[in-house]
Formats: sequence, structure tokens, C-alpha cells
Amino acid sequence: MTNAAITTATPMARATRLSLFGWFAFVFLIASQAIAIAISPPDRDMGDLQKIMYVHVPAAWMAMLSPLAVLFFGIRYLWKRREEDDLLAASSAEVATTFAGLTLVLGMIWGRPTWGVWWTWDPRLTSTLVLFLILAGYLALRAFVDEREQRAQWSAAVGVLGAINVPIVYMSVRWWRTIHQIQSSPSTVDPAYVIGLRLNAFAFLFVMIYFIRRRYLAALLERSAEHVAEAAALGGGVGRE
Amino acid sequence: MWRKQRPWVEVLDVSDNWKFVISAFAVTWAVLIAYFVHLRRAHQRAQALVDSVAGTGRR
Repeated sequence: MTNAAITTATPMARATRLSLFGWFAFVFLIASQAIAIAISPPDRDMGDLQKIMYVHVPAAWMAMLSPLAVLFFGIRYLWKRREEDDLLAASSAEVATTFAGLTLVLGMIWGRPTWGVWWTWDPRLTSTLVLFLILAGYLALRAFVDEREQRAQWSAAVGVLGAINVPIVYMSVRWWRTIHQIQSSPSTVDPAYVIGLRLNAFAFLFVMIYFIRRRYLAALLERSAEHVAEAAALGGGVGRE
Repeated sequence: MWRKQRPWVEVLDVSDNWKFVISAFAVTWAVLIAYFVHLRRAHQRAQALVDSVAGTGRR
């Protein structure tokens, strides 16, 4: 067996298990959305617009949770210098960017009929946009820096910056005057909507974990190919029988 | 439930709410599926890279 085969065998086995988890996550999401829509009555003031909560709020939670994963893996990379941590941080950042972008778009769709505008420079909206831009900057930085260790160190620093913004996003509705409602949680929403919100929060969490793991596996494959190519270029004999 | 926090919603016209609800769910699924396809392609590209470097030529 070649060394390359050894390095890729584990990711391939993981990919099979991960596919099953992916199916579970998406089926759970479909079921959660169907249940939430079916059981939640129209809100007294917003009517059926309330149902946007089942996608907007979980997406926002994932947009705040995944930067914390970037922070965790970034700090662990700086501490232990394990390449896997850098790849996990990068995978989490890509997924965080996706959820932050989705949160902004869903917020605009909800804001138009309730506030009368697609966008306003409200503290919650602005801080979420800043979070999205920091995450996009993180990905841009990784694309521009070629040297592996330097890229990992710099991106870990940007990851910390992005994570610092998370509590600002979360608390912005309490710290400043804002037209955005206070944080949605089981304690602040009507009991009729709690089950739907919880189900969809878990569904989004499963999808987020699936996305991060899937991106990480692809990154592992890319990195193992780079290692083999580098070793072969150096004439180390890697990849031979 | 929202009235205390958002008294201005009383003036809203909620007759075409479903248009926005459907848009929100459609956008969510469009983004999730697009990102899934992106991940799938990234994985295939990475696998092809590994195969080409390892000299197996498998696609």
C-alpha cells in the first residue's frame, strides 16, 4: 500500500459515516420545519411572518456559534501547532460565513414587511454585517497567504477578532437603542413557538456540524495531497511501494 | 407576544405575509443546497488531487 493510500484511507472511511449523518441532519431539518409550521399559530401582530423565526433565529445562532469554533481551534493551533486544528478553524470559518450571510439575507426578508425597510444601520444589523465581513476577510487572508504556518497564525488572529465580535452581536440589542427585538430564546418567545424553535435550532446545529466536518475532510485530502507532492518533489520516496 | 417590544407592528398590513415566509424558506434551502454542492465539489476536487499525486489516476 502506498503512503498516499494510508493518508487518505481514514478520511474516506470518515466520509461514509459522515454521509449518513448528513442525511440525518437534512431529514431532521425538513421534519423540524414541517412540524414548526404546522403547530405554530399565526402571531397576533405579525401573523404568519412569525414563521421566518424558524430559519432566521437558528441561522443567527449558528452564525454566532461557528465563530466560537474558529476561536477554539485557532487558539488550540497556536498552543499545540497541530495542522488539523488550523484546518478545522478554516472549515468552521467558511461555514460561519455562510450562516452569517444567510442570517443577514433572512433578516432583510423579515425586516421589509415588519420595519418597512430592507436594511437599516441598526446596531444588531451592523454588528452582524461586521461579523460577516471579518469572516470573509478570514477566508480572503487564507486565499492570499501561501506560506502555511504564517497563514495559520494570521488566520488564527483574525479568528480571535471575529469571535470577539460575537458577544457584541449578541448583546447589541441590550447595550444600544435598536429596532431589533431582544434575543429570541425559549424565555423570550411565546410558549406556542418554543418547540418549533428548539427543533429547528437542533436541526441547524446538526447541519452546521455536518458542513464543518465535510469541509474538514476535503481540506484533509487537499493537505495530504500537498504533503505527498512536496515529499515527492524533495525526492523523499513518499508514494512509492 | 411582540407588542411590548415592538409596538409599531400594530400598523402593519399582514395580508401578503406568506410571500415573505416562502421567500425566507426558499432562500434558506437555496443557500444550504448551494453550499452542500460546493462542499461536494471541493471533496471531489481534493480526491482527484490525491489520486493524481498518488499516481492512481482514479477519478
